[in-house]
Amino acid sequence: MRTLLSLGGISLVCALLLAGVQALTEEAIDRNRTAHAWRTAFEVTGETFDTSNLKWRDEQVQLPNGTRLKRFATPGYAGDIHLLAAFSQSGQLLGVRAIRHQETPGLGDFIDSGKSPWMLRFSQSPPLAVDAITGATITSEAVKRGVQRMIEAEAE
Amino acid sequence: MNATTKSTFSRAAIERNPAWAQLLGLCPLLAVSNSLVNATGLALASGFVMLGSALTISALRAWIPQVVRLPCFVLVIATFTTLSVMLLEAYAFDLYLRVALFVQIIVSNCMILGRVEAFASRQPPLPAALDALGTAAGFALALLALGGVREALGQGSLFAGMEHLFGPTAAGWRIDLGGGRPLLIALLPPGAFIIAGLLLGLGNALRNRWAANSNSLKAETE
Repeated sequence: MRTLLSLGGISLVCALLLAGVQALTEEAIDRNRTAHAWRTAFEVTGETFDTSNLKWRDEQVQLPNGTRLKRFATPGYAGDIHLLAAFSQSGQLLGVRAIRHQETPGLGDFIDSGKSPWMLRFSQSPPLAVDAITGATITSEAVKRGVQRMIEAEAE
Repeated sequence: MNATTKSTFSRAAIERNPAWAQLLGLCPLLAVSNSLVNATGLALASGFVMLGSALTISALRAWIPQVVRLPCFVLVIATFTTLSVMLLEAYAFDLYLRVALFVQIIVSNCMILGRVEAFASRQPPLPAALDALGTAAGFALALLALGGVREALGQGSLFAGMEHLFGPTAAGWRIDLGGGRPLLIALLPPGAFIIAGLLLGLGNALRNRWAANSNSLKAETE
């Protein structure tokens, strides 16, 4: 009984700490994530644009020049991998980047375009034809499937 | 500072240096030490988790039952790790993008669990905090030594990118060492192992020499 109570008490202390800091940082984190998603969008479309009037609806947004940005979460090796893809007006995949993930450092983080050019291959070949990375099959397949799903959804 | 507090701190930081003497926490040490700014970021985050966990566990030690102490320790350490991730993501986003994956694995850093189990869970908060600070300082020392050598060899600079951590004023801290072509291997994982091994050897040699000196000194005075 005492064990139960003290475990419960310690869990409560931890939960309160987490909830408090989460409430404090939520807004700043949200702002940072949005800004980062836009920076990634600039990178993937190769142009910068005014983002103040753009609103995401159903995980997508249309840019003034007709390019459409899409967000998609695909289950990776450790939690969801959040992808951001850009499609041209004719429905062609312009490029895709990972904006947020928790894949294994040094092994699954090749999906960051800053660490490896792997992500750039999706703008050149069909996603399922892209080679997986040895030792990180689950991560590779998750991204490939995610990109494939986005392309299929785009075609519909 | 009296003798015992000083010795608690310095024993934890130098004699029992978590990285060089106990070889603990090597995974984040080797992975993140490719530049001084990354090393500083991880050192600060680890220090925060170490200090927070040690204080919390020391303060709650009377209520932690012996049989379930490990789940309690892990819970507290995981809480502080998550807090440090949130704080980094909110206030140092550029650095977060670079070190977040490694900050998340602080939770499994055996250095922290080890100190908490061996020291903080048996001592009042003040010595526990000193031991935690010493351990954190020791880990920071190891990280910065490795980060400094690797950045100097691999990029030919020191303190590059500090503005990601300390704001725009820190952009001027960068020191370019010039010199020939940088050694790329210093930035890559094999370089981390080689340089860590050399630093470890250097540390041991210094310690042996120091021990030999103090022994011969003793012999002379006797």
